[in-house]
Amino acid sequence: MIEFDEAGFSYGGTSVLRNVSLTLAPGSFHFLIGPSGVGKTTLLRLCYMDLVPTEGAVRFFGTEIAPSDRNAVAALRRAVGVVHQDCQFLDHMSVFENIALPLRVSGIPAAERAGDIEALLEWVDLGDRVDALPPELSGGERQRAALARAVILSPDVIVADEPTGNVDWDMAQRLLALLVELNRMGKTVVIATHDLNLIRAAKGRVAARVLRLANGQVQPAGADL
Amino acid sequence: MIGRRFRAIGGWLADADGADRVVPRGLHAGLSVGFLSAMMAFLAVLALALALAAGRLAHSWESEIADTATLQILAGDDGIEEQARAALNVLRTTPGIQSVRMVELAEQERLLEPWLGPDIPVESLPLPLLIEVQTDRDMLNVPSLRLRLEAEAPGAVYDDHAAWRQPLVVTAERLRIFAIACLALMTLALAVVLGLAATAATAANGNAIQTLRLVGARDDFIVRAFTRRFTFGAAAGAVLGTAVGVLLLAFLPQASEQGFFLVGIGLTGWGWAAPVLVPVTAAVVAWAATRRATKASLWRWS
Repeated sequence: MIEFDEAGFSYGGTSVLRNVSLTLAPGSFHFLIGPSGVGKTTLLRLCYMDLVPTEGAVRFFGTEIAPSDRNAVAALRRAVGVVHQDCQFLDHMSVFENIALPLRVSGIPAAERAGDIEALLEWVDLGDRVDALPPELSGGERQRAALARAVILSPDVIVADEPTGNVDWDMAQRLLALLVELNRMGKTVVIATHDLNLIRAAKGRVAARVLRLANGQVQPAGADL
Repeated sequence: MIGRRFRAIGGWLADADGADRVVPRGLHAGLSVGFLSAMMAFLAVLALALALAAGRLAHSWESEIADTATLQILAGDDGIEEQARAALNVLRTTPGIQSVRMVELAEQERLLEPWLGPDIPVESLPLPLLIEVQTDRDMLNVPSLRLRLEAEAPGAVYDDHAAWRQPLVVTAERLRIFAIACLALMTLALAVVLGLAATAATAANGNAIQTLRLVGARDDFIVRAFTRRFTFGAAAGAVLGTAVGVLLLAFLPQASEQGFFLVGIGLTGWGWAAPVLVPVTAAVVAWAATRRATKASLWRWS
């Protein structure tokens, strides 16, 4: 599905990722751990072509996409739902409109899928916040709204960057439950986090693969988790 | 092919995909574009009116006045009647002369009154005898007429007004070129300024663009959103500026009221339809300039 083939990335002359070979298979669940600044976000951004590897290659659904092919990049991003660290909403649009945004940019009228959007809002427990503007939401509500937006187009892959970074433990568990539910629907889930308790909480609910990022390389995490 | 293009334009105008909604409503930027466009449109209407008036003026001097000439009989008192008869005889037998009319002394007095005042004894002045001649320029052979007059009425001087008419025609033509150049420069300035405004707007809305790209928006969707916003803002401003300009022209005195060309800058006849082109042009220029600038910005960020 997403395949890293000796991929590497450098910011200027500073190498962040080196020789990363990794396959994110369909229906798999991955945690990506490591201290802050180690390159977790960089690796996730390579998953939806927000960055392009400076060495090696990343293949999506079996093909390598040229960064200059902007339409192909846009199509990829519809197949990869992203829960960004700071959520990235359009603050002048309501929660409903923000969640419907991927539909709008895909040319699907939101009115046609209003039922789906409302069901999705109920699923993330934001049924009573439909008309609220993003700045009016709490941290947990923002994360859940971002998750709803990431899955509205039913993507094959969901990438979440520190989705529980700004929420309390109860909310973190709720978000984890939602992501596990999506994985049970056959979605590939990749979560970057430094919260080891979250990974422990996932044990027993999902067969997750934990990857540690250190010194620019990805390694399977030890059994101490 | 044409049908598809019309459907695309219709969809764009109706904002079928709701692209317009995704651009944050920056009150300041929107007002700036509208205000700038209104000012440009107002000036463009004035320049357009000037161009049309200068064209009318040049045409008038070129054709209407050119069909008249004056014959002056400068002989002394004793031979003036004989010279006049001979000159009239020449004129009546010359192809291209449509009519001749003696200008009466009273009429000459009226013509001289603005310069010499009302109480001047005109009859005591050595005025030439004047004959007004209506000509057909296509048929009249002026050099031949001059030769005949020289032979048969040596005291007669044929004046077709070319000496003072030609510089006026040239001036009117240049005035028209100047007005058209002003229009072209204003269009260019509008394009440049709107392009800069669009570049600034895309830079200021970098987060919104990043979000749109994150959720899979194609570049043409983003370009459409920004282009539509700017085009409608510019068109609305241009309609307002045009309306104010047309109102101003409507209240200007017309040429016929004063008989002096400088007050005849207002529009006439079908000329009143010409200002419709101003907001249409402003919208097309805004569309092209914004589209180009937004595309360039997105390309740079890629």
